[in-house]
Parts: sequence; structure tokens; C-alpha cells
Amino acid sequence: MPADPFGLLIQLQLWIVVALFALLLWHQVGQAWRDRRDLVRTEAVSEVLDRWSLEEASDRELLETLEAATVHSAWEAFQTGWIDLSDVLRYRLRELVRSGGWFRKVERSARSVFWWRRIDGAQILGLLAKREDTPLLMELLQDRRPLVRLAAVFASQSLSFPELREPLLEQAIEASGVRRKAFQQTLLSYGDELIPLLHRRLRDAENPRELDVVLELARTISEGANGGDSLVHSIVPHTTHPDLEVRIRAAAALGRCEVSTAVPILHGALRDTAWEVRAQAARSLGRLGAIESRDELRRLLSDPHWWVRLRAGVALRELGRPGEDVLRDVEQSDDPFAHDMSRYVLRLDDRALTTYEA
Amino acid sequence: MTDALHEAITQGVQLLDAPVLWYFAVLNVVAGVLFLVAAVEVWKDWTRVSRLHLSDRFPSRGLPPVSVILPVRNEAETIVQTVAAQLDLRYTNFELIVVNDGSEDRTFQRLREEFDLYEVPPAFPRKVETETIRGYYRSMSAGRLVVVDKETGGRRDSLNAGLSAASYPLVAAVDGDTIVDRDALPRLVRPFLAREEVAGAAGTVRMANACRFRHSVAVDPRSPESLVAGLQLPEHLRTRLFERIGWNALGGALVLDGALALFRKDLLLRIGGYPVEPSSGDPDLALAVQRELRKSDLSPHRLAFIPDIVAWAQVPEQLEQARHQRERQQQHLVRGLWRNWRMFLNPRYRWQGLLGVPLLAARAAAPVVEAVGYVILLLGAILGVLNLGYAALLLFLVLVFPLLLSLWSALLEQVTYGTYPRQSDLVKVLGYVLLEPFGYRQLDLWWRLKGMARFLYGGSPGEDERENRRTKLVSDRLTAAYDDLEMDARG
Repeated sequence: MPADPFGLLIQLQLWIVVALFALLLWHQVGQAWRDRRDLVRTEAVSEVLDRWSLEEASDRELLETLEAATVHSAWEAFQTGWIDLSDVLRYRLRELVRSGGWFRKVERSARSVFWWRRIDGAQILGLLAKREDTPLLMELLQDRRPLVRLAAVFASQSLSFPELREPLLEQAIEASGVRRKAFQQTLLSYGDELIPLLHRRLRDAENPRELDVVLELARTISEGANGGDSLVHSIVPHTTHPDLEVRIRAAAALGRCEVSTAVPILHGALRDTAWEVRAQAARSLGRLGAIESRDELRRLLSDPHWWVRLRAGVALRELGRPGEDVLRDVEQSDDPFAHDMSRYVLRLDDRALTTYEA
Repeated sequence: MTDALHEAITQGVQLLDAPVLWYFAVLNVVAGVLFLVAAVEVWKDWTRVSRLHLSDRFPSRGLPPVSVILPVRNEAETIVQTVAAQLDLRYTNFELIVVNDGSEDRTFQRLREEFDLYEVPPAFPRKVETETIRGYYRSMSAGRLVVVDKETGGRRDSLNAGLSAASYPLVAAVDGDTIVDRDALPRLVRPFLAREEVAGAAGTVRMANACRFRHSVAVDPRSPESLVAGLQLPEHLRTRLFERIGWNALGGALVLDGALALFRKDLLLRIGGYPVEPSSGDPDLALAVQRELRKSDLSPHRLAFIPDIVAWAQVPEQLEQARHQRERQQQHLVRGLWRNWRMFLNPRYRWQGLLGVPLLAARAAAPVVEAVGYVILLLGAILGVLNLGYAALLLFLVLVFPLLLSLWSALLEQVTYGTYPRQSDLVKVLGYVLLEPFGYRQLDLWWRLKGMARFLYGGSPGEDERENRRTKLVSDRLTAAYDDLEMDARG
């Protein structure tokens, strides 16, 4: 029979089993107890909040109930009760929680060593924060835990404090593809207020990753935003950026800026060495409905790359009758590339065209 | 028996008994540690991450859009129900790409008729080379649906065709065999939002046997009634749930259930598409993706596993079907390890290379070692040299310890995720846990040995059996789901 090391392994297995069952018991008993406790407290806060909103409970009663609740259970109560509160009541509540000591509990939670408590703090700040809490929110936006940063982004979306715009943009730039989209959505909630920041970043940024994010925001904001067209002048220099993705994004962004100054710039992009940029520029011209681009788009029907020819053809279709006339004319030409593409595009029905325009 | 032979066998038995015991002792300790890690991870996930309710908190347009790819071939009988069920997933922003892999029956025609398809031009460049694409179609009645009609090229080829056609940054490959839970997508995107470098995510696939579904949600989840299916449950909980949770905490999943795994499209494209065909419960896909990411310098992207239920699948209820499945799984496991042998003890692959792959390899070899252990027992008894201490230890290591882990898994699953709300189901599950080591485990051992032998001697996994089973079972399940949808539509 093997000696001690083996015996040790056997003992270790037995201890592991004991530990597993102990953890299970702890979880079952402890967690169940915590859940019940939190539920009781959440219900208590909800009930008092309801009565307080109807002026059937005093400020003091609400504060006392909050004092007895954890930040998490208060959050659970607020997130359902908040939507029923008027703006006046929300304002009163924000002031009220600062008059007692309860808000310090929220601040401590937001700075806790435990990440889940920082999430609780971030979530409740999303409802109760004032401008003076911006430094705390900025700390949370730069937290080392991605989930805490995400919770801070949620909070920022509902607050729209100007000081948070730049930290949010930094987060969007640093985040990976999937998370970046989420941060960008939050930034878009600032609407036109984002434009000055975008101007500055477009002017100063050199990093392609940063430009990628900023140009994407510019593209989305430009559509329908007041002052969005002013972004054209900040976007233009990036149409000749060494990075391919930046040039593509710049061409796409110009397609949303409905100003005539974008058109000549896009004509320049039609001569880019990369087919992706030429294709995007053609697409943007079609989107702008730039009739003066007919000749340039016609030239592109002979481009060596199929996708460029296609985008030029679809763009001509988007110009309406003038563009279709060009296509019919080219259909009679000797150039096989241009001839084939014109024929193809002219025969696309509306549904197919919509697929390309999407 | 001659004295010399008797002596030789006795010496052989005495030589091998210690290594066999050591093998299982070390394997069990590692498994036990994984379970301890899993316990902490479950607590963290259950008490914290799940409660964040990411999908409720995020504006719906802020959730990442997903392309769901469904390769089909010769499924005329069930295709309409399958597609209808997938279109009913509860997620704001997704598209369903059905890839018809050169079906020889009326699969495509059924799709065309039922979903009012019209041909569209390909509005994107092809990113992965596949067999010839015959056409792309959209639906007049289902805006989310895209159909790709192509020449036959196999499931992996179809997935890559779908990958090329995908519009969104996340792609999920689904299986016609599987009932995707209606809330699968918001659960699967959670790891992508909660962490930076996540390349893919998969969740738990639970047993659909005996469960009743409505709109792809198990409205009455029951533990399996069939003994054969029920006896598979303990291993399912041990290895497919808690062990994977443990790996997740240590650095990422080693095995993803191919039934529904979500990947970042850009990373898949950079490694040339799906490197292998996803199939249920084998490491091939996860290891291949990890290997390719590493080769393309895209590490430390990890593969995440979430304990939430994302899909339901039927497990075999007949011994013959179970045998086929086990043999196939063992072949896949060994094949996956063989293909990824470079990861073995390779520090380039961090946890996966230094611990994960060796553990999987040990698991793959365990049937052989266990069989040797039983042979030693038997020979020892026959020759009168049986060491009772050895026998007790062997039984503890191969039967009792796994039984205790199964028991723990069943109880923890019940108190956290509580898949089976009825007491009677919990009692049944505990019954299966107690029965599994005595009879079924030994059968399973035999099947896995055969699976290994088949791999070594080049046999095939036996797909026909699977096809027959799939058609019948999926047809039953999804007919019910489709009928529900029809009833709802009529109000």
C-alpha cells in the first residue's frame, strides 16, 4: 500500500467534499437569510416611498427606513418606484437623502473594496446623483472592473452631466467592439451637446482607434442634429488619413452631413487607392442625393473593383431620374464593366435596392 | 495455470494497482478543486451578476445585435417549425440566417412558400471561401430572416457561409436538434458586456426530456422519466455544468456546447471562419478557436461559460442511442485532443495548456485506466491476491467520490438555479445520482472504450442514428412550439 502522499490525497478529497457541502449549507442558509432580509427591507422602502410620494409618510420616516436598508435593497425599491415620481418629487428626494446620513452610505458603497457594492453604489447614483457627485461617478467610470464601469455608464446615461462626456468618450475608445457600442449609445443620449467635444477630438486625435469611435459618433450625430453639419470641417482632414478604417469612417460620416461642402470632398475620396474608401464615398454621395456627382459616379462604373462599380451604380439609382439617365446611357457603351453594372443595377427592383441602401 | 504465469500476473497486478489509484486520486483532487472554484463562481454569478439584469437595464438599441446561423439540410418535415421557433427568440436586435446546404428534398421550397422569400443581391463581399452560393433570399413576412441557398459542403461550410452573410458583430450557430431558450441571447451577451477580451460564450444546455415547452421556454421542467436519460443527468451536472463553471473562473472554457455558442464575428473571420464543426460537448471547437486566436496573436481573448440555461436538448432514452452517443463523444474528445496536441503542457496557452488540456487528456484516458483497475480487482480475486484496501480505495476513487460530487452538484443546482421546482423531481434526481455508479457507469465505461478503439482504428461516429432521432424528437417538440405560436397569432 502506498505511503503518506497518497494518504494525503485521499484526505484532501474528503476535506474537499466536506468543504463543498459546508459551502452549500452556507449558501442555502446564509443566502436564503440574506435574500429574505433584503426582500423585507426592499418592501419596506417601497411601501414608505409610495406613501411619501402621496404625502402620507414624513421625510423622517423615509430616512429612517432607508437607514435600516442596504444600498442594494434601496436600489431595488427605487428602480421600481422612481418612474412614478414626478420631477418635483425626484428633486425633493435627491435633496432629502443628503440631509440625513444615508447618502454617505451610498458614497461608501461606491468606494467599497467589494466590486458588487460599487455596482450598487453606481446604480443608485444613476437616480440620486447631483452635479457635485461627478467626481465619484468619474471614479466609477475608471474602475478596474469592467462591470462596475458598465454600471457607471448606465448611471451616466440617465444623468447626462456635461463633465461626464469626456470620461465616457474615453471609455468608449478603450472598450472592445461589443462594449464600445454600448458606451457609444450612452454618449448619443447627449445629442447636440456632444458636438463641441467631437469637434475638439476630431481636431486633436491622431490615434486611429480614437478616430474610429469619434467618427462613428459624428456620423450618427450629424443626422438630424443642429450644428451637425459643422462637423464637416472637422471630418474633412481625416479623409486623407493614413489609416484605411479612418478614411472609410470619414467618408461614411460625410454622407450624413447634409451640406454641399461634403460633396467635393467625397469626389476626392472617389480617387482613393483603397477600393473600400471609393465604395463608401460612392455610397455617401448616393445618400446625399448629390446630382452634381453624376459624372464622377459614371466614371466609377468602370472601376476595376466590382463593389465600387456596384456602389456607384446604386448611388446613381438613388439620384433618381438624372442618375438613371446616366445608367441608360452607359448601358449602350462599349465598356463591358460599366455596361454590365448599369444593366444589373437598372434591373434591381425596389426591394433589392433597399437591401443595398441599408 | 502454471506457477510462472500465476507469478507473472500477480506481479503485474501488484505493479499496476498503485499507479491506477494515484491516477484517480490526482484526477479527483483536481476535479474537487475545480468544484470549489465553481462554488465561489456560482455564488458570485447567482448573487451578483445575474442581479444586474443587464438586458433590462440597457436600452434595447444598446444591446449588441446578434446574427443567428442555422444550417439545414434535408429537413423539409421540420424546417418551418424550426425557423418559426428561432424567430421567436426574445431579443430586440437579431437576424436569423438559415443556410440551406444543398438539400435534396423540399426544404428550400417549404421555406420559400411559408416565409414568402424573394431573392436579393449579395450586399456584402464574401469573407470566407465556401461552396458555391446559389442565392440569397429575404422574407416578406419575417424581416429578420435571411436564407442562403448553397451547394452541399457540410455543416462547417454552411456555418462559414452564414458567417459571411452575417451583418452583426456577434454570431451564434444553432442546431436543429436543440430548442434554444427564448431568453438565450440576452444571457449569452452578458459576458461580452461584463468583460473585455471575450471571444465567445456558451451556456448550459439542459435535458429537454419530459419537459413541456411553450415558446421555447420550459413551462414545466421535469427531470427525465426514462431511466436511461435520468442516469445521464448526474454526469451532465458534474461535467457540463459545475466543472465548466470552474474552468470559467480559471481562465475560460475548454469545452463549449456547440448547440449554442456565441462568438465575435470579427475574431472568427480573422481566424478564417469556424475552424471545426461545432458539436455537442466536445472540446474541438473551443480548443481550435483558442489555438487559432493564439496563432493570430489575438490572445488573451477568452471563451466564457455562463451557468444559465440557453438551450434544451433531448438526450437518448434508449440504451442503443446512448451507446452511439457516448462512443461518438469519446471519439470527438480524443480527436479534439489529437488535433490540439500542441497545446499540451504548453505555457503559451496558459491555464488551458498547462492544466486544462492535460486534464482533458487524463479524462480521455480514464476509461482505460478504470478498466485496468477493474481487471486488477478481478484478477486479484481470482488469484487470491486481492488487496481489500486496494479494492476499497478504488471503489472510493472511481465510484464514491464522483457520487459525492454528483450529489453536491444536484443539491447546489437545486438551491441556486432550481431547474426542477417539484420535490418529486428532486427526489428522482437524487435517486439517479445514487444509482448511476452501479451499472450505468460501467456500461458508459465500456462504450467509451469502444469509442476510443473506433477512433484508433478509424471508425465513423454513426450519423444516421442521430438524423433519425433528430427528425422525430425535434418534430414533436417544435410542432408543439409552432402550434403555440399559431394559437397566439390567432389571438
